[in-house]
Amino acid sequence: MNIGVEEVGSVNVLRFEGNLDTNTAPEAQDRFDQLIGEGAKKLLVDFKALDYISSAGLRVLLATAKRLGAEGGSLRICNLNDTVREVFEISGFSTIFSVFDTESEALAGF
Amino acid sequence: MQESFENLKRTTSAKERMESELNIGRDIQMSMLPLVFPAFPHRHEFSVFAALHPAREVGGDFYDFFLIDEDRFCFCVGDVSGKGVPAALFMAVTKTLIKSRASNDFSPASIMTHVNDEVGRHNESCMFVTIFLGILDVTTGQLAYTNAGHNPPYLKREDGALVRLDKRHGPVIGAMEGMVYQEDRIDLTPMDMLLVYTDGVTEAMDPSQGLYEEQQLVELYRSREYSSAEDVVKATVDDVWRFQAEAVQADDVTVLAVEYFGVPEGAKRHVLDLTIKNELGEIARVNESFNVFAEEHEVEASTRRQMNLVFDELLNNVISYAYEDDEEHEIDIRIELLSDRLAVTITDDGIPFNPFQGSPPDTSLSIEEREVGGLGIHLVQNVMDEVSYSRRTNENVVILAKHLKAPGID
Repeated sequence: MNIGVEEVGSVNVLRFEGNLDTNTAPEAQDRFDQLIGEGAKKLLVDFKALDYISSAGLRVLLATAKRLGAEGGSLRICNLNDTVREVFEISGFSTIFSVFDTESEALAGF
Repeated sequence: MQESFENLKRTTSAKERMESELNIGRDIQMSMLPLVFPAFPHRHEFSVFAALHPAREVGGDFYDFFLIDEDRFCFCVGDVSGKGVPAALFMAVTKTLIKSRASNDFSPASIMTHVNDEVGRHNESCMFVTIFLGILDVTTGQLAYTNAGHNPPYLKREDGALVRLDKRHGPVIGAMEGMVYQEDRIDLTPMDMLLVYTDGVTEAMDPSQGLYEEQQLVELYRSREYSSAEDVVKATVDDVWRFQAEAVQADDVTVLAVEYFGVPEGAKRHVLDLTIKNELGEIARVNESFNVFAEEHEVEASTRRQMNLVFDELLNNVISYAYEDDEEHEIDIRIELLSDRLAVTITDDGIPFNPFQGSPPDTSLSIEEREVGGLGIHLVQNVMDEVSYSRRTNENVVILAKHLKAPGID
């Protein structure tokens, strides 16, 4: 897994590549924690190049959203492939997260 | 007057008690049978159909069938001596023992030997049961079978020839412990049909007390071609009813048919076997190997990703929770790709644990309320079409299947 981070205005865009699963979740969690620790409030997760996500990855997203919410920030997610979208739907994550089709739609009004 | 009234009351209530016991026995008997057909709509190698019509008075027939694993189909037909609740309970015990033993013993002779010992050991009431038990390898067509005092079944070959499987492999089950049962093997070829029945068929009586007899069954099977297992079972039962006419049904009538189709021509079958250690890092190796296999055999990308998810969830579960020691363990993974199904078997030697018995998580809660526990298994159950768990001697076996679109079928 690779995570590329780019600042777009006040938003930190995290572009995931590869898998977000048992083995890569700890690294992703560290990256989120680091950004929030540095004061980031608005995080946009772009899953365009993400192959699949498992519950270990969902746990990271949930923990990050909870932490951000407590600190007055928020998390958006965009560009889900069919498998990731299916996982979001089965788990109910598509209703509790702000999910967008594209990065520009997610950035608009963030 | 008073005395005869009391007598009448006594005999009436005794009769009612017997009646209700017979009814309870019949309810237990019928509730144990698999009754949904087609039983395996996603398996193209074989089909099975069965009918059991309980008699009013006597009866203790049963049948059962199940897939032991991806390739082995086990079926049996039995007839318990006796009637009412005791016979029904005896049948329930026998049927349960067979199924439990068959989950890790693939030899009909060994299963029968074991079941006979168990049933015979505390058999104060001296009941017994005749059983025909077969295990069909649906990929090769080889049928292994043991007949314990049961009516010999018939095999109707594709060319119409009728073969009587008349070998007996031991006495009735339950009569004497310590018996060693034998088994035989016969190769089925596509479109062969196996018919197993109980003596309620051959001993059905017409109004003048004449018996149906096996010869009439043979003639029925010779008389025409049958389009399906269901067709032949229904034709048999109809013929018995026709013969019996207005006479009372004397015994349970049970017929079970298995039709073998074989592995469809041109069907592909690719197998990938992997063995990993109980370390989380190994999951990535499984997914990498599977992705190479999937690419080579043109598995759709979305299916491949779903399988990656499934491996991550289930292997994480096993590696994290199945072992109470710090030893190294092996986990076996078998992946079978057929034209229209992708099947996975995961075997570990961890503590007994059925991952599918928990309740699904509440997916309607808000971010603050949500927990992720239990979600992994919920995902697996949703993306796969079949999931099952069984405990074999000292192993957990999880079998999963995903239905694929067969080429040319929408």
